[in-house]
This record gives sequence, C-alpha cells and structure tokens, in this order.
Amino acid sequence: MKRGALIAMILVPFAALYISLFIGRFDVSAADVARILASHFLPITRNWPASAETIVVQIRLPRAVMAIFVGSGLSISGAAYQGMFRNPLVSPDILGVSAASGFGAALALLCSRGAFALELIAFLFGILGVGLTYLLARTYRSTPILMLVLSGIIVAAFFSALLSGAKYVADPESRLPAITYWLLGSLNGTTMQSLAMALPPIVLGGAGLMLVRWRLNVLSMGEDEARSLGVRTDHLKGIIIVCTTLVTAAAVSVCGIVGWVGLVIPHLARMWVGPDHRVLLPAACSIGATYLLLIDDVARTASASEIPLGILTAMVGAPFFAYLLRRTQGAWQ
Amino acid sequence: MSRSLVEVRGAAFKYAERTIFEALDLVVNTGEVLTVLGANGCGKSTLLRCLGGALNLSAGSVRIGGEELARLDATARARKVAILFQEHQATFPFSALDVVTMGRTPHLPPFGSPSAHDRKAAAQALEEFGLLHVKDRAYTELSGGERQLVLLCRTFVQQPEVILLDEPTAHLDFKNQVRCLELIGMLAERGVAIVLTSHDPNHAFLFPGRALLMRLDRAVSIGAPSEIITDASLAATYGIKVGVITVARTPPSRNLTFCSPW
Repeated sequence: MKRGALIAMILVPFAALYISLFIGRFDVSAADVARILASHFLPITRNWPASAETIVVQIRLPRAVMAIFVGSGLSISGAAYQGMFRNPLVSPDILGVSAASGFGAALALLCSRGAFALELIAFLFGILGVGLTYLLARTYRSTPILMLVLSGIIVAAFFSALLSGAKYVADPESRLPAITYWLLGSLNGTTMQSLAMALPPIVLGGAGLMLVRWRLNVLSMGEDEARSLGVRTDHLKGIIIVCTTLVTAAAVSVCGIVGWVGLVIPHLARMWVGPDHRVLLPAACSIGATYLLLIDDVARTASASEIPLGILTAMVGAPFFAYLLRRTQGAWQ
Repeated sequence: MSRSLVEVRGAAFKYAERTIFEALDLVVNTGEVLTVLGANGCGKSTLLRCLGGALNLSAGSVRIGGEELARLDATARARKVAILFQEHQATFPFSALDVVTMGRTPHLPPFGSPSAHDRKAAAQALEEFGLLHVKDRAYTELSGGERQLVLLCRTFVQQPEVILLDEPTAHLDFKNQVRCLELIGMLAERGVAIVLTSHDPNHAFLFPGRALLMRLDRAVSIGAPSEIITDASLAATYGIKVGVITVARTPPSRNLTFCSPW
C-alpha cells in the first residue's frame, strides 16, 4: 500500500476529531479549541470563558471519542464478518447481537434503572443473544457458516418479538418514548462513565480481530480450503465471533442501534485498499471513525433538537450502498 | 532414495449405508505420481479427501510421512499434505501473489502474518511456474487456466510432502492442460508424492508412477499404467469400448501409449 494512504488513514480521523470539537451550537473558535487542548500540556494563559472549556473537554470530547470507537468498532466487525461469511450483505448484527441488546435495554428502561445498569444489561443481553445463536448452530463438533446465519435469524426474530412485547406493555406516556428513542441510537448520553464501560470491550475485540487478520484472508477462501491450509477454522470462527460480539454489544449498549455503518464502511474500505484484511481492517477503522464523527456532528447541529443517529446513518448509508452496488455491479472491488 | 510418503492400510469409507471403497491398501513413494482413474461417482474425490484428512475414514488408517493422519491437527497436517480441490469458489479479488502467499500459512505462528521472506518465496514460486506476469493481478480476473496454475503454485509454496490434486486439468484448455501436467511432473521430480484424480486415462501414461483404477463394481486395481490400463480394464471401469494403442518409436523408451474409443 502507498505511504500516502497510510498517512491519510491515521491523520483523517484526527482531523475529523478536531473539527468535531469546535462545531456546535455553542460557539468556540478552532483556535480556542487548540489552545484549550494544549493548555492541558503546556503553560498557556487562559483567556477563554470557562464554559468553553467545559463544553469542549467534558461534553464534546468524550462524545467524539465515543464516536471514534463505536464507528471504527462497528466497521472492523462488519469487515471481519463479511470476510468470514464471504458475503457482502453481512453486517455485525447478523448473529442477533443488536436485537438481543435492544431487548436488554428495553427491559432496563421498563424497570427504570439508571444509565449504568442499562448499559450493562444491554451488553450482557447482546452476549447472551450471540451465545444462543452459537449453541443453536453447533452441530457435530462444528459450526457451519450456513447454520450460523440461520440461527442468527432465529435468535434475532425471537428477541425482536420480546422487544415488541416490552414496548407493548410499556407505559405509553413515559417508558415507550424512552425505549423508542433509545433504539434509534444516539451518542447524546456519552459520559466518562459510559466511555469507561464501552472502551475496554471495543479495544479488546478490535485488537483480537487485528491479530487474526491474515487468517481472515485464508478463511475467506472457504472453510475446506482454509483447513487444508492449516487454519483450525472452528477456533478461528470462535475467536472472530467473540471479538465481534464484544465490540458490537459494547457499541449498542452505549449508543443504541446504529445501523448501516458496519455494512457500508467495509465496502468503502475495500474500494480504497483492496480485499487484503491486513490493510482492510485498519482502513475500515479509520473510515468508520471519521464517518461516525461527521454523522454525529450533523446529528447534534443540523436542527434545534438532536436527530437520532440511527436515522442519519440509514439515510446516508442506504443511498450510498445503492450507489456502491451500481458502481461495482455487485463485484468485490 | 525412494521412501513411502503415503501409506494406506485397510481403508474404507461409507456414506450412510453406501460403501464407496473398502479394504484399500495403498503406498505412494516420494517422487511418484499416482493417477486415480474411474467413472463419475466412483469415489475418486472421496478417496482424495480421505487422504488429505478433509473426510474421515470409516475404517483403516492413513499415514503421511510415517505419521497417523487422524492424530494431526489442521496445522500439522497442512505442513505435510496440500490439497487442490476441484471446486474453488473465488470471492474476494486477492492478488495472485497474496493467494500463493496463503500457502505459507501452516508455517506461520498462530497470530502471525507472512513476512517479507514468505512473500519472496511466493514470488519465486510464481516465477518458477512461469506466472510472474500475473503476480499483481486479481486472481478472480484471471482465466480459468491461469487461476488453476496459481492455486497449484500455492500447494508448492506450502512445501508439503504430499500433494493431492482433484482433477487438476478439468476445465483447462489444451495448452494449460499440458502446462499443468508439466508442472505436476516438475513437483514430483523434487521428491513430492502426488496423488491426482483424472477423467483422462492418458494422463497415467505421462507420469513416472502407477495408476489406480476404481471400477464400477468397487474392485480396485493398482499397478504400472502399461500393465493395468488395458482394453478389458477400461471396459470394466467405464463400461465402454476403448482401445489401448502403442506407437513404436526409436529408442523404445520413447514409445507412446494412449487410449481412444474405437
């Protein structure tokens, strides 16, 4: 890969992060943002209002950091699953993680638990959902890809039904809107605490996927061939599923269901750097982080009240995916 | 020195109630090409998959380089046996070099990626196979013949003791068939034991090795091609009338044997 692409891969998300810190309804100039950030490391006279510092450091920064990790996490997971399932229509929630997490969150909202409990319950339900899918797909000492996909559909359908049930019994004045709004996805509730909660599983899962990225290439040639090339496919699939689930469940638990990122970004990355997962996974991280940062900037500034993230990612993602399909004629370019 | 790399003892394979083969004994030596012949559905591919550990025998044992195949895990197995499957469904447009480099996978640590050394070995193999011009092209966009040669090249980079090829020349044009067969001969010269299945009995005459005939009545015969490939045995194998013809040339070592339907 060209050096220029590598530099862009690293610099562009940071540029987007910087932009995200001075865009917003409260006016803080780009220069002030730079000075506020630098003042944490360098002796600089504070000639900006205290409110500006609060907004940049305590509100915009955690939210932007969350956007980076959620965006890159969902994208790397989508890229890994598309390779493993050898299918362009696969997104990180194919094994039911989003549906199960969503039900967990609805349950927590029904019982009106706090933000921490909600995130924890949603996360655990996400893991539970994928665990069920995996057990269901397990045939004699193996988990064939087709069985995984079908089991994922079953588990997702089951948790969707439970979710509908939860909505049906929810108080339509208070709880139902809360559940509905949460499901649409938002980074609005990001706090230091939710960062501390979501980042470890996202980083852990992402690092795990980076470790197996060469073997993902081999696995994407088909299971029989991968085995004949010395890959213990059931181990590898297990590692990929565990890592992806950690990332996706953590992402969903802190910001709701943000669709299309894990589906579209890997395609974009593949167009840019090609199919080799050694480069594709880092590229997907970079593009995903940038994309979600910018989308979230739109979500919080485009109108007087916040636009839910899930609505925007779908409104941008769906037409863009249509464009990609037209352009590549369905080939993996 | 000739050494037996594949040893099969009392092998049997059954799909549910249907016996594909049974009580099969077989030895393939280093540098030998064993050509497996038989009609469609007689179990050639099944036998090959059993030799590679992709299917488990119902009875009997396969030893590769002296080690029990069933006791090896996928990685250890892949260092000893390479398989080229008949069906290859290409999905991602990896470069030919990347595809060949995948042959290095069993020699890498569990979380490792190929090193510059591995990539160099892959590039060298492509050169030896006369494929250097396709090195950076997407292998999904190569012709069927070139793609097959790239995959054959990958088995070579895997550095196994045994290479199993399931109808390596199927779907290839005449030129690529010849290239493919030449390369298989070259691999055998380097001491690899090769087992290949084929629909063309003539292939058996081209290689330094024996032929294995799987007949429709499940009888199996193994031996030098000139001895076991006869009008009668081909009739029993394929159920058609075929003649084996020898064209005398000088010296007699250049005699040409081939078979053709009457």
